[in-house]
Amino acid sequence: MRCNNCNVDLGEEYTTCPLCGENAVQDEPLIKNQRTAQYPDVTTKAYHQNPFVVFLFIWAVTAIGSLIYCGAAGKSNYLAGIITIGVACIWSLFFRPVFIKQLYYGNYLVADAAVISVFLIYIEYKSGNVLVPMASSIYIPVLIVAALIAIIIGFIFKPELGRRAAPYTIWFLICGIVGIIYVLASKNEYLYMWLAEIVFTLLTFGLIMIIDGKSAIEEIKAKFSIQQKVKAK
Amino acid sequence: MKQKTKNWYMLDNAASIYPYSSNRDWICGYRIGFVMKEDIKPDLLQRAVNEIAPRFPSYFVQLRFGYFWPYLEKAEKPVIIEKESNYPVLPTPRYYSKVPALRVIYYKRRLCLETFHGIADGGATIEVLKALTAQYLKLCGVEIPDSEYIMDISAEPTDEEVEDSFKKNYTKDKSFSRKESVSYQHKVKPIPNYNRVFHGIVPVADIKPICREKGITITEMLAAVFIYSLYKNSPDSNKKAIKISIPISLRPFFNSNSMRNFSLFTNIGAKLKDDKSSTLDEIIDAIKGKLVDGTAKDVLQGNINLNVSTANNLLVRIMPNGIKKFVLKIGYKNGQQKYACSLSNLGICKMPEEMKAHIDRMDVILGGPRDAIGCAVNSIDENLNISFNVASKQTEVVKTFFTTMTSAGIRVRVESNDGYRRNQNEM
Repeated sequence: MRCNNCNVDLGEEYTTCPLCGENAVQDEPLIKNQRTAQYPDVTTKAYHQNPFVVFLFIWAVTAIGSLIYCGAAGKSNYLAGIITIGVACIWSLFFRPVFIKQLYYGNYLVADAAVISVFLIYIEYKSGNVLVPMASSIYIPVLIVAALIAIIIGFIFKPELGRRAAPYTIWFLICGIVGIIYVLASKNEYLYMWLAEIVFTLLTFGLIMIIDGKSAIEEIKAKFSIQQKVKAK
Repeated sequence: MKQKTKNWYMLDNAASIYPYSSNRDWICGYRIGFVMKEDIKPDLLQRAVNEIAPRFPSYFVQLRFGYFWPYLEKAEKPVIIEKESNYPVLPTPRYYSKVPALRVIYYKRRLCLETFHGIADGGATIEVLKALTAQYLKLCGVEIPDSEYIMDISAEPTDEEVEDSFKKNYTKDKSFSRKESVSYQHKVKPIPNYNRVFHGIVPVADIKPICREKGITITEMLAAVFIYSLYKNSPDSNKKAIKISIPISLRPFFNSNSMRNFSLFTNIGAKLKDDKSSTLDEIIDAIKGKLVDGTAKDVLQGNINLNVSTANNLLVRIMPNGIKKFVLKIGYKNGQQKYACSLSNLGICKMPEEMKAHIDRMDVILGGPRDAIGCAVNSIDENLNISFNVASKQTEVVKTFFTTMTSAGIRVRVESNDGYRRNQNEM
């Protein structure tokens, strides 16, 4: 087949020219011995709207709406903060897990725990220790210990999870050090909670190292890797 | 030197930008494939994939993000061959994903590798494709002799194959500047989950005498026709030069055996008359020799030094991923302003005659930005295969390209993945 409009050869299967849409005509091709390599039929599907974009939109509308409401009603911005961070928590806890496919859950759980921690600290700070007293000294170390217990249970059943969890233990250790500094600076009596968190983190890390230390170190190296400075020749 | 077993690799210097520039609708990848003479046998293809996997450790990997840099990790799951069911080079969920960044796809006579550009460039992926195809043909009972053109899959991978050749060839010589004038941008409106592909088969015997007469290379000739097609389809208001980006493999210049990225881009083009009266010959005169200038070793060395010194910056090295993504995305967008479209010539794919006897042709499809037109060229034997991909129904540039070639007396056979059976694939 040929297209006389574009002056090109077409395969035998072509009824129209893919370039111009004109009808193909039965004619000898100029380039001999060619066979069409077929592609499959495709039923196209439009992308679904990215759920994260939908969330960001709802979150922005809620945040701006609550700020305007608080400003107009002469109420504290504290309420606006609770609504704003609260929406993020609801998203993290109840909606986002539904959209996770073929991905690493651990990353998402840690991110979600971070959002919830920010929420708790915010309420603690703004309510002057009334609504969520000692969130940063009690609830957050407890949350981290709960995560560590989940990690231990996880890698008992699936040893490779230990390797994946190793970098988190580094972050939990950093959280513990920051927590101790905060508790010492604010002079509250819950220092032991953060100390317990650090001890538990180190125990978990030790357990990971015993079970699959080599892989865990590799994972930490990869996660914290920085391009080495290259020396010129 | 035999390679020590590694579970993860830092991305090479050129690859670092690709994970950051990709998004949900688009991932910077490409397809390289052979059209065989016979239909593919899936069970034998899967066996061939499994057998070559240990030979190419830097290919069978998944993309992961560290806290500062992305990296490639040995894939948790083996590569499972897929029967093609969608348009070529569409994105798969690769971020934080367990899906290998290399896909092996087949459909009837077509056998392809779809690869994330972060793993390697086309010059290296061709070697994997040839090794896979040779192994597949051997399993089909074809005698393929050992050849310098096919990598030996029984050999151990070497350190040289997985090295970052950019870093190895970084010198204290002068770096080049990134300053360059912006180009006219030919943007199409992309249709979600759609990619239209055109293959133009052109006899080398038709195009070579014309190139010889005009004193240019085939790549320069095709670049000139591409620029001419963009020019003829540009708005009258365009005052900017029309430039296209051409990748250059650095392996022959720096004697590298790297199986990762080791190529750079040079942008060539011309400022043409506003009234659309410029001719193809004027464009040829304007770009003649520019590709050769762009491949001078000191120019390439300057560009390598520029890229490596940027990555050497302490701020860049320790910048957390979230910020880096934002910064590099801006850098990538800025770089894209310097050219309208890409044209990649992978050259002649050499292989033993016994293997060539079972292959009809080779297809290369660029997965460039969704709103731009990509063009890739290659040849196996006496025919060039010029492949365009456009994520849109706006295909006037492709039509102008091929009709310009036919007007010059060059025979062209066109195939496409859409529209060759009436009332099918219509959107």
